[in-house]
Amino acid sequence: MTTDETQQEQTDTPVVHERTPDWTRTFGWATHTGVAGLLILLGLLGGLWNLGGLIGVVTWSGLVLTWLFFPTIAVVALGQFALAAVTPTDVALITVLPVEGLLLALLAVDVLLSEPLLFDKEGLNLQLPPLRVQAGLAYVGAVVVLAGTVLWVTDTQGLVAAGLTGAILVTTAAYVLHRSLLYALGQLPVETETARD
Amino acid sequence: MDVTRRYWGTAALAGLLTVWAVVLAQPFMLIGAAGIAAWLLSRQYQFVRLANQTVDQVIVTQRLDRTRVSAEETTVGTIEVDSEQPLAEPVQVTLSAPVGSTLSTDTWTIPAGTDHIRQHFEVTWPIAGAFEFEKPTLSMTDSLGLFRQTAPVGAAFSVTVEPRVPSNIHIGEGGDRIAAGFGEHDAETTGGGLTPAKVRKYVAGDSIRQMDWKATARLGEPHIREFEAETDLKTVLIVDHRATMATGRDPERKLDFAKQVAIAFADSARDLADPLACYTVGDGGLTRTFSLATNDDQYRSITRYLRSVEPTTTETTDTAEPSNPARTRQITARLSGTTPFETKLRPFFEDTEPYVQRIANQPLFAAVQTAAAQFDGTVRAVIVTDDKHRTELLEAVKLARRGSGRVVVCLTPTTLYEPRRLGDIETAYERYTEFEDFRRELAALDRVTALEVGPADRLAAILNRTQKRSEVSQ
Repeated sequence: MTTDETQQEQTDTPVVHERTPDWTRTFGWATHTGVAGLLILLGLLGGLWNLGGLIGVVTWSGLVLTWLFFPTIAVVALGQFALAAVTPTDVALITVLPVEGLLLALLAVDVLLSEPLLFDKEGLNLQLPPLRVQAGLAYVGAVVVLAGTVLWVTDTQGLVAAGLTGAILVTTAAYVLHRSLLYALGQLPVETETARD
Repeated sequence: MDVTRRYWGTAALAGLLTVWAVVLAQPFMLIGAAGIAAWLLSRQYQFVRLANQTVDQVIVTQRLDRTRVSAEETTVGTIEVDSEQPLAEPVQVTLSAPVGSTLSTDTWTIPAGTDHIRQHFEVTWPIAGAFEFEKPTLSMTDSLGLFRQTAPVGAAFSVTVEPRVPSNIHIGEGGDRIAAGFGEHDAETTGGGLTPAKVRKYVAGDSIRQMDWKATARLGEPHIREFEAETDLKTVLIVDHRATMATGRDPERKLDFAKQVAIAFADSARDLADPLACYTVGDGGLTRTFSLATNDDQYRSITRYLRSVEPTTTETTDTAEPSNPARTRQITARLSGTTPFETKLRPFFEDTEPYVQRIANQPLFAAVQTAAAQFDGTVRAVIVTDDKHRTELLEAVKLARRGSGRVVVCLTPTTLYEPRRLGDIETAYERYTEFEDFRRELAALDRVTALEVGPADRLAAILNRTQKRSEVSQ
């Protein structure tokens, strides 16, 4: 090995490909959802105004502040409690659904766009990783299936049964994903086949 | 896959919304709970895919600059992480150091966006043995800190750590190496063996079965054939590890050489299935005793103990040797007592304590005395010590050869282990000559073999330099 090669080896440092600068950060908007989230929040303003009037607007202001400083899941969780607070007791489910949908859309945006994108090795082509699209589709699919199931069970069996059904579905799906990863990494114990006589 | 407290917090939030939906009878809150649960599932799905991709595309290589090292050495290792694509999330690479080694760093965090990294680390090997570096572990966490997963990547490799032992050992007499010190031994008696020893004339009392009929017919008078006796040679190792054995630089101290010689005798005894005993002597007396035995445990235990033995420390500063009675008598005879000086000096040469009693208190002699109690039949006593306690050693050797026993004395000449003494080659040679005189004195005793043990290069330096000087003067 020549001296130059040795020196190069000694001074080898990590090669880091810089992430894409988020333009919202350039303008000081250190938010978690960017413009899409802002549009959804504006939609929420209308929904909450419609449901709770001035109280709805005050509640919405709290959500905006949360959105600016905390991860999206905090906004959605707070939004659920805010929705319960401003919604009249006798209102129909169909009236609340648009606001609920907007809250869940915040999570969809979080899955799709919240994280900075990566440049490829040449540092030129901005790509939307297919993994994020797949995760977004998985989210939408899971919401449709879960929400549809719990609403259907609520109609037929009641709220308690719907809650239990939802919990069972989610737990099963999480367990299957957990095992699939272990299987893919070869970390599942090999089971020997029993000999069939 | 492990989940974090953050995951459980979010899951609990979904559960709380479900309970609230039931309590308040508000179905829309169930939809909110379903949304949060779906978000967790999609995050989990994303992490599962990401972890799979990362493990597939990341190659971790670990290696050391050497795979054979000496104990207490430090080696430099390299860990290299290559990824086909820049990493989407930071990962941690952890090395699992084998038990008995120490790593300077064992975990590296590879930032997101990295596709190549090379880091160096140091490994210290305090103990000898065969070690294996297991596969490095890749730890991944998702960007929100909800999930964790570890997976082994790369390949394992093994390292052999050899004990620090002196090299280039000289064992010999007067600077000449002995060709063979171990192996099968002549019992020096005749008996019921298979190897013919000699043919001699028949004497009354000889067994008729020993008669050599061919020799009798050829020589015209009765002759019998004798065979070499087959006996087990009992070997008793007496190893000195007093403070004086610490002379020299690690790992080339007197004791390091002495241990190698003692281990070689133990190995030879094991190969021949000879009974072996071992006594180790420190400044305070016997430090360990292994009684005669031939089982594998005995050989293993003795060898293991000899490897670990270290010089003891002396608590007293009185290192004066008991003087030899003959020498004392000589000096006393010269003191006629005619002058006041001689009259005053004479009492100092008169024994206040019997010589035997003074010698009996010396650790090496006491050890030989203890060991001699086991001497029964053909015994070979191997005394491994230095030349610092000459009178004591001489008496110990005389004691050890009692009966039909043979004694092998392996001596480490102090002059070969003192680095500064070698600077003055003349002085070193003079000291070596004194040692050689003492060794010859021991070797002159019946059934005693006295050998010198030391670094061959230093001994050669002393002998060559002196030889050249004598050639020049001629």
